[in-house]
Amino acid sequence: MSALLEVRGLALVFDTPHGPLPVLERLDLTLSSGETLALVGESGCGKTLLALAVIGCLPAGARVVGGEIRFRGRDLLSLAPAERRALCGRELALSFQEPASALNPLLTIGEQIAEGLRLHAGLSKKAAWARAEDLLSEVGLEVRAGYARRYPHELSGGQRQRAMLSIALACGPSLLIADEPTSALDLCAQAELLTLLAALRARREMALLLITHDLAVVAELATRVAVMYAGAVVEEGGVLELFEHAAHPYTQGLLRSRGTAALARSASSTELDAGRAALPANLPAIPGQVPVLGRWPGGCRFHPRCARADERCTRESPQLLPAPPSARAPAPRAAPDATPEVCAQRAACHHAGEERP
Amino acid sequence: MLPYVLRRLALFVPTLLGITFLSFALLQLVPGDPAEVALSGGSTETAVDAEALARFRAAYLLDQPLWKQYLHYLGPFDLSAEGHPWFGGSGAHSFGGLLSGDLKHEIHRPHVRVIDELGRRLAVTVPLALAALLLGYLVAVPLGIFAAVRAGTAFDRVSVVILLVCYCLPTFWAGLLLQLAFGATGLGWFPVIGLAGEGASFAERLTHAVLPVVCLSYGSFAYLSRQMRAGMIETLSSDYVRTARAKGLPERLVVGKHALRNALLPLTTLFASAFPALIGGAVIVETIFDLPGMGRYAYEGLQQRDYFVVLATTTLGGVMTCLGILISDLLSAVLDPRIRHA
Amino acid sequence: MLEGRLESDGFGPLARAQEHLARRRGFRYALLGLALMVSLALYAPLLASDRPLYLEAVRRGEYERARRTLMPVAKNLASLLAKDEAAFLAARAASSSQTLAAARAGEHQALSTRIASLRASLSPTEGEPLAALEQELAAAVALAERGEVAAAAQAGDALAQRAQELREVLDPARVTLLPRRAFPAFAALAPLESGLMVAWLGVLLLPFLARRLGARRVLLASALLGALCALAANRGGDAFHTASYKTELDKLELEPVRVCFAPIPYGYAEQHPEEALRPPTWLAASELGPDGAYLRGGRAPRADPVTGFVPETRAIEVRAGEPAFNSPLRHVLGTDLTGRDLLARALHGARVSLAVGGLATALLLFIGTLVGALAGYFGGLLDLALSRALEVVVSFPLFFLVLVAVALVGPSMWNVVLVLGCVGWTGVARLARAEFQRQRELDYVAAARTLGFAWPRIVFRHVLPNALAPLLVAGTFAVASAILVEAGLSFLGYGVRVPIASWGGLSSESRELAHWWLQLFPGLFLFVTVLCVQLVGDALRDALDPRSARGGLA
Repeated sequence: MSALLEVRGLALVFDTPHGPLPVLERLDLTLSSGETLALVGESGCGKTLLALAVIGCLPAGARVVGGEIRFRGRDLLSLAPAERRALCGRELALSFQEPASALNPLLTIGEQIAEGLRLHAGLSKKAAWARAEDLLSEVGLEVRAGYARRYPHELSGGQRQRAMLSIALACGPSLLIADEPTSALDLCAQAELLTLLAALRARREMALLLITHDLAVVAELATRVAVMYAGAVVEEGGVLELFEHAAHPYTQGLLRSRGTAALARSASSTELDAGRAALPANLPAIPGQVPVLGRWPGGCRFHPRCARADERCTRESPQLLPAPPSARAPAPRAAPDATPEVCAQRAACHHAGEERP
Repeated sequence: MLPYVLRRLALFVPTLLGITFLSFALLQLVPGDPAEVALSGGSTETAVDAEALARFRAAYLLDQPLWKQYLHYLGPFDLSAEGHPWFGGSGAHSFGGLLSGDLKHEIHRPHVRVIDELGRRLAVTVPLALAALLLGYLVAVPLGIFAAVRAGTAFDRVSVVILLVCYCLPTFWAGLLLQLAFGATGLGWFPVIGLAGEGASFAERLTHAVLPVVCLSYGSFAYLSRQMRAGMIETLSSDYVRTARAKGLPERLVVGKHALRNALLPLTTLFASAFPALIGGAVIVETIFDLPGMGRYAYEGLQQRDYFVVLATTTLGGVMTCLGILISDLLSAVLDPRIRHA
Repeated sequence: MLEGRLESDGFGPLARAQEHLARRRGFRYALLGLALMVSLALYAPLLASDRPLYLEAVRRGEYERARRTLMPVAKNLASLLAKDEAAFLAARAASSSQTLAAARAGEHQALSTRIASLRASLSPTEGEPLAALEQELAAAVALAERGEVAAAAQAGDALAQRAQELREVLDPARVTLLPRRAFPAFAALAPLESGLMVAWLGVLLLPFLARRLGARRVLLASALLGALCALAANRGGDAFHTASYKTELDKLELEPVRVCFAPIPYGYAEQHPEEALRPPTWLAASELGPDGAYLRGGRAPRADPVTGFVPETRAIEVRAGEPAFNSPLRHVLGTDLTGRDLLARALHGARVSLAVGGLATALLLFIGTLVGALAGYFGGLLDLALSRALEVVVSFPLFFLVLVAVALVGPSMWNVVLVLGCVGWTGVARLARAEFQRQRELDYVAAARTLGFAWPRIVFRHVLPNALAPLLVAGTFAVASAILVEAGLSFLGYGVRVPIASWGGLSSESRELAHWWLQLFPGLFLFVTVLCVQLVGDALRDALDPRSARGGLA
């Protein structure tokens, strides 16, 4: 099976009064049909911008300055605007992060779904409306309750997220990009939505690019993970390999901090004093702060926060290379039909093969 | 929708009462004896006719407590000596006051009923104001959209500067400049003073109205256009417009359907402030162009210290503004489901 | 996303606002223009005045007056010194209640003043006889105060005799009169005026000093200096010099050695009736013949075709310090109905327009913030009541309401300020209410409440600073609209009264289109000022409002 989406060396800048500010640099990403790839990273590392670049809806001031984005082998960046629009919504769909502001407050949910259907599938007004109601019931919003006729402000957060999903799914896309689908929801609604996403993906056999900072979501849905740091992918691989044998120190830190967070949660809920005592030892999972956009350090961008960093790290920017066997999981458990190149665990770190400190 | 309209109308009533009260209270600001000041036209030398003074006091109940004066002015019952029998009057003139449509007579022309004169004056002001309003919205909205969609281009920059200049031009100065430029001293295109007389052709009436309408509308036009541009730019960068783009909608639909309706919302609210601005502007514009309209009537009333005229025009100005606010609220409710359902 | 990142790294909202403003060229020009307008208004008495800024002159007129009246005054005093209380009371007019002591003191004062003004124009040696006279005067008055009437009468007679002699001795032909220095234009300033002028200097120098000394310190220092100046300023003094300096110079009652007039050597009320309604003098149409008749254009006097009557003209009176009668700089903006210089009037008018704008805005900001803060912070019944009141006030067209109120109360600058402040607060109140409603829900307010702070402290010390930015922007726009409303009122004749006229009032002086300069120039001042204020407001709003900042950056 060939790659559905291929991002090669993508570079993106923000134009500011002080000159262009790099946001993404040399970003590589590959996604096969039907696969679920989770894109993980701290907020502000450029995940959402990557999604917007793929869909072609970059905010004013942001522009692509290099690289290519191939969808089914066609370079999206070189397409004419009309051709690209024809792809968006039909083949490629994006479900936005904040459904509260991403839904038009003056139109009913049904109208907002039907709109895309009428445009791409050429349905009549009536047929589009009927299809919109089907879609809503598919995401769990009952037809009888009349959700199609409601306005966004009449829905709860979880319902809005579902409505957002049904807009994205309207024309049966082969790639769905879900940008932080759960971050605006409470825990209960999160779980429901994840189940729904998994079911939808399986039923429609579409590829899913899941953008999140929540590792729990990753573990639940994804088959592969790409970790982003400061505008570039620093490590990628199968979800199990990566979770158990992360090669990049940043990934390792992320995984540790998740443990810390879980510990802190349990401690605060049960025995407060003991938890407090336990915290300081575990807290500094990743010391330092995420670097400010455009003030990225030279060499490896992670080196100021990295325990393993040496003189070479400050000088040379590491490439995303297959992780050395010592750092890799013993037996890569890739899907049988995936090409080994796609599935292999890769990391961008000069010290990927070394023992952990 | 209906509950909202009903609730809004219910709130309209106390505001109207407040307006009548404030108009009435304004007259209490006059230092000295209002009756004498009114009848002497403000000058101290004029001897005041004692009989007229007594009539004035009786008509206004100036010797009575304030609440009674207010109720007398509000109506619908006349509380004076010839008033309704319920209030101890003789019953010769039972009804009167605002609520029964009685705005008294002018002081200096006792045979003229204020309400009749007001009707004649409104026949001048209302068409002018409506034309100005229409012109304002019809030009401002497309211009604002156009500038916003082309934000940053030369067209946008030039229009921003021109609109700012228009917005800052004092009305009376603009009127004088218009007269200088287009009147007999300049290009001589339009008559600068007065209305076309009786039996004038439509074209003549039109040429007389051009300068006043322009003078009346450029301010609100500039304001509306600036707001439209700002609103449109904000809407175009909003998340839901991005969603519409991500759906693959063509730009025409994105701007015309998703952005426009949202950007129009604040403009319906501005209707509420454009309307009073027109009424206020009418005083100056009608003075400059010498038009016998309502603004001019109020000004004349002030100059002659004719309280009934001042009271009537003030109240009417308040009521009309209040109506403008009501209309704008209802329009917003039509456009915005969030208001409708609140 | 990007925004959050910038803010987390020390780019606070304030720093971002400053950066935004620094980048904005229009803002800097507008600020400059505004500073210029305020300076023009503030320094108007020094820029346009019929008093010289500096005068070094022989005061021949004053000297002569003092010399001539020296003897009569001395005689009066002598007769008072000779009287006792009873004789004085018997002789005084029936309606007068003056005592003998007061009368003596008055004459004493009058004589001293004359002696002083004579001495001021003489060299010390030539002034010696006057010094002697002064001593005799003191001695005679002292005798009278001790009650030694006879001795006092004798001394008084000697005094009068001496004054009589001095009149000959001090004849201007026999002595040389020395020139004296004075600063008449400065002397006419009120204490508050001079204080403000000095303090404003500090503000003008702010851009140059702020980097070295810190803005706050510079402002504080200039305010202090201004206050000191206001306290030290001479009260009254030369301000009561009623005769026109120009006339005195023309009549050679003042023989000038060196004299420096203001750049515009006309007072705002100084009339040139023969020059009424003269167009700007740099125009060819404004050229006059020596007889005061226009030489060309429609204004040139023409014989009436029927009667043959030629309208009479009067030659232009060129007073001291004024440009020649056909100089292009004579009346740069023309003159008004009574021949007052329009530029001088416009500069003085700026004071009214700007003062009304500033003061009315201060008042409406105060009322609006108070009402909005209380309604927004407390909500409930208070909010309902205040909101209704607000709605009623909003329901009147602002200009209309102000016009009626000012016309009824009586037009004056303070009434305009008062009415504008009491009527225009609704916009600010709405903003403040919304902002306080929002801030009330934030954690820091809850924290302040749990700490047990009283509500005034929470509202005004904690919440208000956080809600200040939108109020500041609204205040800037309010200045622009207050200036416009005042101009409209003055135009209709309900603003400030003569002789000082605001820009609106100047525009309304003639509705004749032939007198276009009267309508064009004051309006131009008004327009430029409002434009500058508006530009500053626009820039502040864009810089302080995070919504538009987002539009600009991401």
